[in-house]
Amino acid sequence: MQATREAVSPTLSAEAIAALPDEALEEAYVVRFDAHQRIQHMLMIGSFLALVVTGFPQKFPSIEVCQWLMDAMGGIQTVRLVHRVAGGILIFDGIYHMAYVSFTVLVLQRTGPLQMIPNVKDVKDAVRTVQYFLGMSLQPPKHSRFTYLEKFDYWAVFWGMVVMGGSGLIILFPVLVTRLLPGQIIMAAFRAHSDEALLAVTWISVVHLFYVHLAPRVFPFNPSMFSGRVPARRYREEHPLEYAQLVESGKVLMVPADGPTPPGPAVNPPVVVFPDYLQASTASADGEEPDSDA
Amino acid sequence: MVALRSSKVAGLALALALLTMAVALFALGKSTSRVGAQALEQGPEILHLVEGHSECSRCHGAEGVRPTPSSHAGFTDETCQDCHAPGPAPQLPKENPPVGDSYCLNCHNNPNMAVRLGDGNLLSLYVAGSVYATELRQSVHGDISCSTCHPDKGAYPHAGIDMSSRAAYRARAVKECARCHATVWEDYSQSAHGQALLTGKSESSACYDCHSDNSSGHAIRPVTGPRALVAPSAIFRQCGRCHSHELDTYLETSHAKVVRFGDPLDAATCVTCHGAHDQKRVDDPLANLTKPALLVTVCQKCHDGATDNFAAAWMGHRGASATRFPIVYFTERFFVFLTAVMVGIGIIHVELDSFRWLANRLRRKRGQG
Repeated sequence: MQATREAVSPTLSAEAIAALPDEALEEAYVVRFDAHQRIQHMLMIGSFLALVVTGFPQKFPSIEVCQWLMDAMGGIQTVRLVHRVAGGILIFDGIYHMAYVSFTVLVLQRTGPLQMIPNVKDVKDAVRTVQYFLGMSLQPPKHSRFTYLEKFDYWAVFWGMVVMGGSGLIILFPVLVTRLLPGQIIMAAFRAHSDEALLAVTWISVVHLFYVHLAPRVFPFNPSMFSGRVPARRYREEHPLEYAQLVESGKVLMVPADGPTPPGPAVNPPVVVFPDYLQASTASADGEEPDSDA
Repeated sequence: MVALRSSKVAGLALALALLTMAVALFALGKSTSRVGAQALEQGPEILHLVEGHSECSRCHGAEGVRPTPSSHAGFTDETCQDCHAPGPAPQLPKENPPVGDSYCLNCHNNPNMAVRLGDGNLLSLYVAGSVYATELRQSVHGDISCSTCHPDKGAYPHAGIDMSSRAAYRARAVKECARCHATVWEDYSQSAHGQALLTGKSESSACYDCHSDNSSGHAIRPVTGPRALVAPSAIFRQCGRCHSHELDTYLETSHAKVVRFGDPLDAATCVTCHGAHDQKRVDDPLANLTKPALLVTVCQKCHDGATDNFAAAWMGHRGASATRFPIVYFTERFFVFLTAVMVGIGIIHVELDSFRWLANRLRRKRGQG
């Protein structure tokens, strides 16, 4: 990472970045997610959608449309198979994520994932946000890497994965499970699987989709989770504390504006990336050294 | 003189009597020998399967379908097959009523024809029209005639009908089915339905309640195929006509869900656990349904290796409560609570956020304006 940063360009100073006009941030971006995180999320989207499409018709056999959907998808046997395979992929995704987090924290000694743990500031932020919504406060709270809502989203999914994966396996292997556990577990798992599925779909479609795609500042589609990048201007608004921290700690890259766009796998997010012409323009604005080389 | 004349008359009378007896004996001998001679010949084939049909004269009596000719006097049901070999099943035209039915329809084509039973119920006796032309013809019994199932009613007035109550009438009706369906009858007559109906305890299910969609013996459907009412995909609706609470709770199970999506793997329907014709009351020791230790044998029909624990998962067509299946109950309650709270918080958050965004926008516009 060190090598990449130096190879591309010298960094801007924190003061120089702070002095940049808003327009200059248009082409700058923050690398927020690495390849593993993006793959994890894409695996989740794919398997989740497959599970919803194959699961919900099974929940409502009385509805004519569900009967039609089941037939259209090849009948109960095919649908059941797809549902189980998709469930397997999602469970794998969960294990993959846990391995990724463990490796990052324990082996690489990086504390990034630990920022997902809720703290007192999240409670205060939530209260202050509601106050802001109601006009009792003029400014919303400043967020760090993860807002309280993002943490809530993450842990809701975490909970959902445990409930759905666990209950799904229980109702897939009821005979095996009841060798150890009381029979009631099967019926409870059946209810939990059905109810939590409805909750997950409602939450994802109402809250998650609104905040990642439909909210005015990101509408109509926010590709950050797929590209790993967030425009710096928006990032500065949404995560001002982390942005300031990145800039001050020098986690800043310069890349050729018209060249290929790194960073590759060697770069550990988060890092702020600027097009290199900013370096020159800032330098000239500061009057230190004219861009005679360029 | 008088005595002489008397003896002459007596002698003449005796002679006449002897002559009459001789003629009668001759005639009797003649007729016996004629029947004997005919027994060696082969009559027309029997146009249906004979298995389970032992009383030929019930259907083929003088008033029945293809009635036995008068020349057959003296034969019994046991000897029919000496001359008449069993042939293939008949291919009767379904559009036209079989022979003999027109006699019945002379009266029963009156839509108003009905009888008031002893218990006050009105029993319609109308069978003509669409019932006869369509329902009966399309039923599995479309090839047989009225008198096959209504053998006592060949002549008018009909004999042997118990008109005291609907229950009694129904109990009599199922016995007509039993004349052909003897094996099923053994199960049914011992079942909860059969026992209740036959002992007059209640108007429990008769054969045609389950095997037709309108409780009509004239509309018996096949047991398999798309029109079947007792196939896995349909049987629960038939049972649910009476057992509506059990149907509702069944429909919530995974058994019902896969059945309704046409699972080819024979998922469990009512009859899988309760039996088809031999269903017992659930508290009957023979039903194996009351205790997990017995119920597990029922589960094991489909679930290999099921244990008592597994059988204990069955909630017995009843919901969970704080004392009954508490784990299920509190799981249900918890998820209702969780869903309400989560979705509520989520929607309120999105709404407040949108409200603030809109308010800020309006204020900025007003500020500019």
